[in-house]
Amino acid sequence: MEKYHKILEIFADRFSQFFPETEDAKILFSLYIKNKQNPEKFIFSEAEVRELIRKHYKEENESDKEQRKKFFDRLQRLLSSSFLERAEERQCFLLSEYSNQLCLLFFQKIEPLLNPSEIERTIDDVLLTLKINSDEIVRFEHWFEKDFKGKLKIELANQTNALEFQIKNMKDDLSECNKNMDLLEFSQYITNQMDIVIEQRIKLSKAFNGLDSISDTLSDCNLSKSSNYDFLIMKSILNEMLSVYRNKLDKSGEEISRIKGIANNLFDIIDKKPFYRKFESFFFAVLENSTTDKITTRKDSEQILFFVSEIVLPNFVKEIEIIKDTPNEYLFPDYYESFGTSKNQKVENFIKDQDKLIEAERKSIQRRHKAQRIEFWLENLREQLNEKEELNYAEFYLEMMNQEQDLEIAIKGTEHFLKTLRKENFKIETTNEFSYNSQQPNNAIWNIRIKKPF
Amino acid sequence: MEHPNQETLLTLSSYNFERFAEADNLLRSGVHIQNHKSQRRIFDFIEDNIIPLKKFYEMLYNAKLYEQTTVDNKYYYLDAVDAQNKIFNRAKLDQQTTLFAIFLYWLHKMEKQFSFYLTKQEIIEILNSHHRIRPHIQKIFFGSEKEDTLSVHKTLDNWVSSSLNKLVKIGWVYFPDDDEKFELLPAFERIAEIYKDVIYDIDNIKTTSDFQNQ
Repeated sequence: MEKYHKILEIFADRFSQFFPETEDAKILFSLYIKNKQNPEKFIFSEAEVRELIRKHYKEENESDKEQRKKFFDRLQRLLSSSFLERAEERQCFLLSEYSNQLCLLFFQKIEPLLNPSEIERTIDDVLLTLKINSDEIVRFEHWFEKDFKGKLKIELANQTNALEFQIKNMKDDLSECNKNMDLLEFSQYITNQMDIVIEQRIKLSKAFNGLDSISDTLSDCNLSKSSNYDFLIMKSILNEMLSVYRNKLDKSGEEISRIKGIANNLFDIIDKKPFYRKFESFFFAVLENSTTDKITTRKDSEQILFFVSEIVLPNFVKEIEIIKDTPNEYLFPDYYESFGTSKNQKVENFIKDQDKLIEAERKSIQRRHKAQRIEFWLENLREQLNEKEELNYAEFYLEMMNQEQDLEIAIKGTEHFLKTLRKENFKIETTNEFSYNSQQPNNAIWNIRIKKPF
Repeated sequence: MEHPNQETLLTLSSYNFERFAEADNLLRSGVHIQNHKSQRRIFDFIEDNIIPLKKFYEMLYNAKLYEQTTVDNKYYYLDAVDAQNKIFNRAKLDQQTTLFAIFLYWLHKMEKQFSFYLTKQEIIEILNSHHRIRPHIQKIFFGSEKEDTLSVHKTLDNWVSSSLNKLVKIGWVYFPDDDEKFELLPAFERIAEIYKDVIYDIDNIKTTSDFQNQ
């Protein structure tokens, strides 16, 4: 029963995008399971549907009147979304073809969870048919499509998915139990749950060993020896697919190891519980006392609508400061040249080559000059943008080139300007056309339009 | 040639000294380094050279290379010894990201202790459906209760994504394969460390009149 409940949860989770409410998914899948258990029963009375709706929406506290109204609303929604259809019999319903297909799709994935050793039989069958069909390319192609892709690959995917489901469920389950159980009870519970999953993984791992026989058979068959091109292509596709599933199995092993790792530190987790409870109080105090400075409308210019709010946390939440980088002035030679008068410095100065120092100083001055010119042009650009709604950057660039006669300033400056303006939410659009100065025909620039922020 | 008066600032282990530049760059960019597959080379380098590195940052940068242990791991980060240190630019984690980090820590420790990977989708669903969280989140972001529309979803998605990106940059969160599934790194424990005093004192703080008037 517990497993059935979990399957419903997984179904609702997996197909949440398809349904208005996750509860609707559970209702439909419950009806599907009823039909699966009793194939003759595919028509359901209004009372049955009502009971499922009541159960999954968990609204026992509501009055009969309220429940009735909500029931009709929900039933109407399931009907209008074509998940349910009205049967010929009065007040009866059946799953639509669409719902059936959706449930079937899921059921095929979840079914192996109940029967994990199925793959062993499938591998044996497929291996047997491979041995018969691996001498002729036409027969091998048929085997590849029907037996490998049609049977084994699906089975491998189902089994690895099933194991993933199980591990995910176990993690959620353990997190939930961790809240309420004491150390002894919880450690026992973890051991039991882990044993179940580990046993299933061992079975699956053992079954996967059979895949080696398929790879061996493929390597030893006549088609392989004759280096048939089509065969070799299919063989490599097949081996790639097998390695995907082997990899998935390995990952599940890693996940189990990590759960074990957490379980090994169980004492620390339990020991820290009082702190985590305090943290919880802290978190809710932060939530309750956070305010929104302003709620602006929306950033429509982003084309994706979302609300923007300035959150102000309560005073007791101090701001977190993290070092970001080193300011530019500490990266320039000036800083190191005036680095104080340590013993090193004196010795170093003594042996420094005078020419190299002069050269370094010249380069430093040159760098500073270029940086100043770039800042000057950025200011100039800002002024122009203040006056206009839109600016063609190519014209600005050519003007800058013309005055500076320095390609480095123009290129580094452009990079700096565009980056800065982008950060300030200016819209920058590059077109397919370009401009150039006839005096410098080798230096062209795309026509870039800069628009003010919306 | 060595001069008798020359002082050696940093002596590194001979077998991995070439990792210094990367380690130094990461530390001075505010990245937390821990024993995790994504940072193992740098972590090992710091472990092997911890004493000279600590001395180096102290002497040259007036900064401390902090070393923190967790239940089963350890992490390092660099920070200025005093707030007036001008050799570093310091950035404040914005309030939205701070709130998200506190929420994420709570989620991981109280609700998802055994989930070492979380997904953005999962987080948004919790924000939208957890009966204790949803009303507050709705109040903070939308001012009042809102239907689950595309705009609402986008707002939460935007908050989650941008906060996660910032946490990735400081080495608290790691995305292994794609942009969806992520892992909380050991250094994420620092969020609890930062607010440790307030957390222990939260019951008192909650009863102060100052707090009640906020």
